[in-house]
This record gives sequence, C-alpha cells and structure tokens, in this order.
Amino acid sequence: MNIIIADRDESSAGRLSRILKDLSTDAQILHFSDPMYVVKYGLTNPIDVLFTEVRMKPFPLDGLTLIQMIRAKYPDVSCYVVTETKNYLEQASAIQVNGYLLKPVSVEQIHRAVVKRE
Amino acid sequence: MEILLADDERLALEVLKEAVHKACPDASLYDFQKTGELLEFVVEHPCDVAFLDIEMRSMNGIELAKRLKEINPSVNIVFATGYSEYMGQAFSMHVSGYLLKPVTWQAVKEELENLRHPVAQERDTGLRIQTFGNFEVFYNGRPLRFARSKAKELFAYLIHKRGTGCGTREIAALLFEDQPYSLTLQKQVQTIMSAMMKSLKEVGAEDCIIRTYNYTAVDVERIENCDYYRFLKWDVKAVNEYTGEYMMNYSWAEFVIGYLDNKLM
Repeated sequence: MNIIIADRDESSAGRLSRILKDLSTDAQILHFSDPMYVVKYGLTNPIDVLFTEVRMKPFPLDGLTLIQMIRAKYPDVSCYVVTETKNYLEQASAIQVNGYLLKPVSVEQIHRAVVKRE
Repeated sequence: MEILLADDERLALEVLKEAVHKACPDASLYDFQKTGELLEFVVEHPCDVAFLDIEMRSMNGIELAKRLKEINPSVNIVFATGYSEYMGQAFSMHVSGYLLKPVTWQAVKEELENLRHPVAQERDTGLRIQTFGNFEVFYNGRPLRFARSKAKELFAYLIHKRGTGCGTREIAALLFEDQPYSLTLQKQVQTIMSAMMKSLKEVGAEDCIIRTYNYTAVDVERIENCDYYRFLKWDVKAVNEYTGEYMMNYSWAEFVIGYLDNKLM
C-alpha cells in the first residue's frame, strides 16, 4: 500500500508519518513538500491513500485540486485533507473527500479515518 | 521526440541515457531496467523511438521489441548490443537500426537521423504558454512581445487563476501593491488591460480573454497549449517538464493560490 503525505510543513508531515507507521507496518509512506511532485510520482506509481494540506506555497497546486487529479487516475484512492482551519470544509465535502482532519492530528483521528477504510 | 531506453544493467542504461541525451537534448527520455514497468508505461504513452538492449534477463530484447511493435507499429526500434551474433535474429524484425556497445552519442545521432519511421517534429504553432520556470508566452515559436511589462504580468495572473475572474481592484492590488486604490490607479489598470488586449489581438488570440463589466478572466477552453493546464490533465510531457519552478519572474506566484483564494470569497 502506498500512502502519500503532501505538506510543506515538515513537522506536521513527520508527525502524521509516525502515527501512520505505527498503525500500518507494511505500507510505504512518502512525504512530498511540493504537491506537483505527488503528480509526478503518481504518473508511474499507484497511490492508495493521500493525506494533503490545502495550501502549499509557493507551489501552484492546491490540495483540493491535487485530490481531484489523483482521483482521476486512481479512482479507489482514499483522500484526506489535513489542515489548520475549517475554512475549506465546504469545498472539501463538495469533492467528497474521505475525511477532513484538523492539525495537529491525533492518533485517534487517524485511526478512525484509516481503519474505516478496511 | 519521445524515446524509450531499456537495459537491465544500471550502468549500461546510464551510458545509453547520456549518449541519447547528448545526441538529442530536446527529446523526452524514459529509462527502464524492468521490462514489466516499460510495457505498462508504453501502453499509456506511445513513444517514437526505443533503444533496447538485446540480451536482458527478464525478457530478451527481441521479444520486447515484438511486444512494442504490437502496441505501436510505427515505433522505431534500435537494438543496442555488445554481442553482434544477435544481429542476425533481429534482422528479420525490420528494426530501425543497431548500435554496438559501448554506445557513442555520434552513433545514436546517426540512428536518430535515419529512422525507419521518421518522426514528424512538432512545430511550435499558435499560442504557447509556459509557466514552468519563468512565465513566457510564445506565438509560432517566437516570444510574444507585450507592449508593457505589466500587461504580460496581468496575463500571467489571469493564467494563474485558471478561469476564475477578477476585477479592477484586485488587479490594482497585484500590479501596484503599495499604492492605495484611487481613480488614477483604476485608469492605469485599464490602460494596462488595453495594452494586454492589443498584444493578444496582434496574434489573433484576443478570445483567450473573457471580459465583462469589472470581470476579467482567461477562457481556459481557448488555451490549447499551456504547460500547467496540460499538467493538470496528466499530460506526460507536461508532468515531466515541471522541475520545481513556477512563474519565477513574478513574486506574487508564491503568495497567491489564485484559483482557491477566489473560491473562498
């Protein structure tokens, strides 16, 4: 299983990565600061789960557009928004994300979000 | 030109890649050590030329060539081999050419200039917009000259916004960041807008812009060749063209997620 984290914030991504590693030992977890590189990765590698921040300056691609792009290529991907604000809730539900997580993410939040997938 | 490279030996593959790059710097190269991955890739992404090592562990080069031709009959196959005895077997396949290892860029160039199925080079026609690296606009391969630099900057901003509109205030804030909004500023924006439209009109591209009272946006349907827009549609070439830089000549590109910001308001 390939799990991708897209976030400019290293500590946030690191935190999420550690929680995921504890929950799922055989998944491959990759972190990208630049969401455009998630697309480059997805060109030749399947993506099963995507955790993405919404705004990742200075890169042009936002998390919601990224989710739509990855879904277009991998329709079964589970996508989660991971962000500090509730501002994008409406737009995120409009594109039917699998979950909207507020930072700092907790183990329980992730557990509920990821375990629901099985 | 889209070129595939296959060799199960990493070092040989690197040598091949360097030689092909030197022979044809503008080509897009896709290298594979594993034949399975190569075949998966090529189904979705046809290539013009394939440089194949004849003797690979997982599937021999001749088998691979046959499979590639099944997928795309006009692909040019060039066998790279250190063993000339295989030449005979490959001969009946009507491949484009052969290279003896170690390959040299001169030999590669020779093969590329004498392909069995010549590749029609894409002519750069019409309007082409580049956002990766610096923002540049080309028409029929030549840089489009905007009457004023701020006119080009405005066009860049509209492209960045991907079809979401903006009004005079927003444009003024972008182009004249420190100045408070005033009638004078409004007029300046209008002048710049006219300059932009004039430059686009000169190449028949004025319909790229949608304008209504106090609302200006780019018509995405009319933008046929923009690297970022192609990227968003998973265009392989565009995805490969991105190397971490976007509209480097404008500092606002870092601060504005144009498309998203507007949706929030």
